[in-house]
Amino acid sequence: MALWDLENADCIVVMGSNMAENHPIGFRFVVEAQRRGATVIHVDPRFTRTSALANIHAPIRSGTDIAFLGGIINHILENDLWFRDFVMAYTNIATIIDDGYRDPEQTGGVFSGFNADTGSYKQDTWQYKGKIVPSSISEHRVQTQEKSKGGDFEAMTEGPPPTDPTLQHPNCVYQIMRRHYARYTPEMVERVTGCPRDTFLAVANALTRNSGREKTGAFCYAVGWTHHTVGVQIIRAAAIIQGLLGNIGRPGGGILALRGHASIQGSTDIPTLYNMLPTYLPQPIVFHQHGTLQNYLDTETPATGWWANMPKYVVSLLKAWYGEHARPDNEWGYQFLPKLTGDVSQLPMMLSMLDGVVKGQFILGQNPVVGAVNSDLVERGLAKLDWLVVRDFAMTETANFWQKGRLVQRGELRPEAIGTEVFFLPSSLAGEKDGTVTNTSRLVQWHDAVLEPPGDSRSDLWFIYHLGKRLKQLYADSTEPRDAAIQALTWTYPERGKRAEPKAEAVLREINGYTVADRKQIPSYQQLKDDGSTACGGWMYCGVYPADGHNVARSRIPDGPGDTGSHAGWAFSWPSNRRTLYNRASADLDGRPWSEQKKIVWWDEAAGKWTGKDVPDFVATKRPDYRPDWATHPHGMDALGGDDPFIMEADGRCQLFVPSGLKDGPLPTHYEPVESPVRNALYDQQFNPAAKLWTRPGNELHGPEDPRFPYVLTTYRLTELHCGGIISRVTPHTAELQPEAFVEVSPELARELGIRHLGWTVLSTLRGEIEARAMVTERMRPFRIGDRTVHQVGMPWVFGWEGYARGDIANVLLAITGDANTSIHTTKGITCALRPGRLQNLGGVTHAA
Amino acid sequence: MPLETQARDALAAVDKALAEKPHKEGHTFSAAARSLCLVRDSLSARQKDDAMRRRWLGHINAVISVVLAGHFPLGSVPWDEIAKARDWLADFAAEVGARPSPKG
Repeated sequence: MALWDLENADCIVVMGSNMAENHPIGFRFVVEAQRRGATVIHVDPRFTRTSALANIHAPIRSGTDIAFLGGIINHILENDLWFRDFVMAYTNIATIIDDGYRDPEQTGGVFSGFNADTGSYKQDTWQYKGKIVPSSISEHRVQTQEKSKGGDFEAMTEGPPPTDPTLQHPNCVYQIMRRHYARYTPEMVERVTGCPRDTFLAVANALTRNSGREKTGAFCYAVGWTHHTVGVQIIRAAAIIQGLLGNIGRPGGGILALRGHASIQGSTDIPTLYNMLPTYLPQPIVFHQHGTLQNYLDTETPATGWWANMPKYVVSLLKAWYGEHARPDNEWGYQFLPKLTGDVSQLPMMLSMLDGVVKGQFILGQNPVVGAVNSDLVERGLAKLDWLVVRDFAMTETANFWQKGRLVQRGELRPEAIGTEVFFLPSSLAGEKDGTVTNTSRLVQWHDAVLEPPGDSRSDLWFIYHLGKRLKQLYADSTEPRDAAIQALTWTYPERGKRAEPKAEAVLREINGYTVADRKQIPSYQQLKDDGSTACGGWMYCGVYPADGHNVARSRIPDGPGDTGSHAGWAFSWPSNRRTLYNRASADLDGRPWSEQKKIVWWDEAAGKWTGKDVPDFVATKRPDYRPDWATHPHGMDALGGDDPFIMEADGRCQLFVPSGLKDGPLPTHYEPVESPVRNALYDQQFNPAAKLWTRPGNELHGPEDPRFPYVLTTYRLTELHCGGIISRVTPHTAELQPEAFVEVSPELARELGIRHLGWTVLSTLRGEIEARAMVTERMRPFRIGDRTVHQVGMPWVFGWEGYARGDIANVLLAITGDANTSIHTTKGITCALRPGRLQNLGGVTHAA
Repeated sequence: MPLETQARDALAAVDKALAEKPHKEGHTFSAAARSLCLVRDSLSARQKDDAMRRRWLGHINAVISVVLAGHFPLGSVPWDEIAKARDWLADFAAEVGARPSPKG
């Protein structure tokens, strides 16, 4: 949903985020909604400025979000508070699941399909009965061995998934969900999360009271949800709630992912992620049937729904990348693409440095010694490299780990024994370069350079472009097959000025796409072809540069009073400058808005098309009463009815129950964090059985209820210091606002341990020890979990040894563990020890007096 | 250490992983990756750039890529593929053992 759409919400739940402090610009829309009468709720372990501005603050123990959200699901189902007309029409609540499905309620905490020997799932028993459903995400298949076309996804063209509209079938999604969440009662929520029962019920009632035909509610989250081993499942739990309440595709409804940087969304769309090609196309995998382009397309292309267009996007991408070297007789250059064997995301990459697999590293816009988990292991990995290139605008801890690092200061590494050759290159800042940022609203916004970067500073685009040119030159005469991709790569961008800065707009034009024959810009992705006649660097961005000289991302025309409120003239939001995804769901089955005050798009019978305040997220002329002719085995959008709004799903329905695409279960389930001071009160299974764990020396984990590490630790950011911190720690104006690292401790725990406000403390885990001054504050409260008191402490992770504002690196304490689906690291809800005092060895950090 | 010995050590480490089939721990595969990378580094360090060296490098890199799939799997661990990679490694070790160690 769009940030500004928050002001249309009647209830906003901020959870997994301290939005007021860390997303203050977006938070103004929360404040505006509240001014208009919305109820604002903050669910968070700490009482922060967001809590202070909320109508309700619900404290929960870090890592228990699914228990809390599962409690809301149970509350909705058992009290019949769901938006029945919406849910029955637009979700898979009535769909019947395979007979082999078994719930964690039946099996001690794991779903059917779990292989204890491998710690992974097969999804066969999660499928719609008689079907194999492709997922809507880039990894349409998540297992390593799959069948090919004809035996699986094609079943989706043979008829609609089986349903029971009476909802009585024991294996329909409704009954499965009721059984799955039956024990997530308010009392259980209190026992697991520590949130008082009445506070939980106040949240559940406020949210359900403010949802339905006439009202909508929104969730806002940040890394307080994603940085867990169950991060994706937490978001899924919110998606189920929003699906049940009809809060998707409608004004003021949705789930807003608050991004941590200006263009995190952009770096997912045109990805720096290992497992995706641009705009969510799957990266080929060696162990799948991806040996040829045809096999890859056959096995990955869903038969039904919008993703059936995938071949057009893939071939157009290959044409954009390889130009004249992408031909029909060489599979459009498909074999130039590297094929994955395993997970090569950041955590495996760090571990692979330690093992000598990775020999060199480029670091652009990151400071992993501060920002990545298990900082000591990161230093050890960097010390194993042959070469390291760091580009930043000021010295970072990552660039000088070899000189001032913790391990060097502690005598565990010696600079003269570190073989890594480090290149520190100055980079330009945002105002010194042209380009775009894509924000959480999928809004692609252009920005111009306002001045030249000083000295040798250059933009990242300059660096990558000129590096590419040199690599092409280096391998120009190579006869090695592995160098063919670099030789084939299209790398001709116009340069400007003495510094030969490549034109960023030329890159955006290429991403938008063009016709190959006459190099004309393509205005919409519906015009992309799979015959090599079109080139497009990212199909979802098609339309951002629809004609020569027309950069829509530059547009800055806001809506005024009386306008639609979609701000369609402000920049470009993908796809098709659409502001609200799945907005067909804002209208009922017949195409009429569910309510007058909550309307976005509707069916115009006279005109024979969808119209409204936003670009319809649907086939513009598809009638609401269109039904697939199953006798013809319809494919693509022909297989979805005129009342199936969720067009990226193979059945067009909001997936309350997910048959494919998730590696850790079709329904969110409460597991304790990998490190927890308590046992799982709901299941024998203690933590997510599919979590990514790599125990090894230096990355040991604490067992459940380990008495040596009794406290819950969570890390977070500060308003005044940005992420890895260097940009704000070297700036006196911001550094003086947060001059030194600290740990937040409740008065109760401080008394128990003899810690005084501003006194020194030592935090320790099996990964390392650090020290910080104590901030004794009532913002931290002890939790009553069952018959025990559980204390939680919190620490900002933004400090290091560089800049004016210094302090020990909190990420020294953290282990390398990953979410089962995304491999995102865990920074919330680990366990630690805490004591008053100081470390014997200060680790070289200069502390304020 | 002679290349043949390194290759035999790497083979033993991969065999250990195949025998133990570990999951959720990093020791066994980490040891296999480290020993394989020693072989790769030895080949990389050879100054003589002939076809055999390049072929061996390609061979050992392929084995490393598959073993990493066990250490960092995308779904379930592809044990069958790792077993095939083990056989490639065994072939490689045998070939290395059958040839005189090149100089430089």
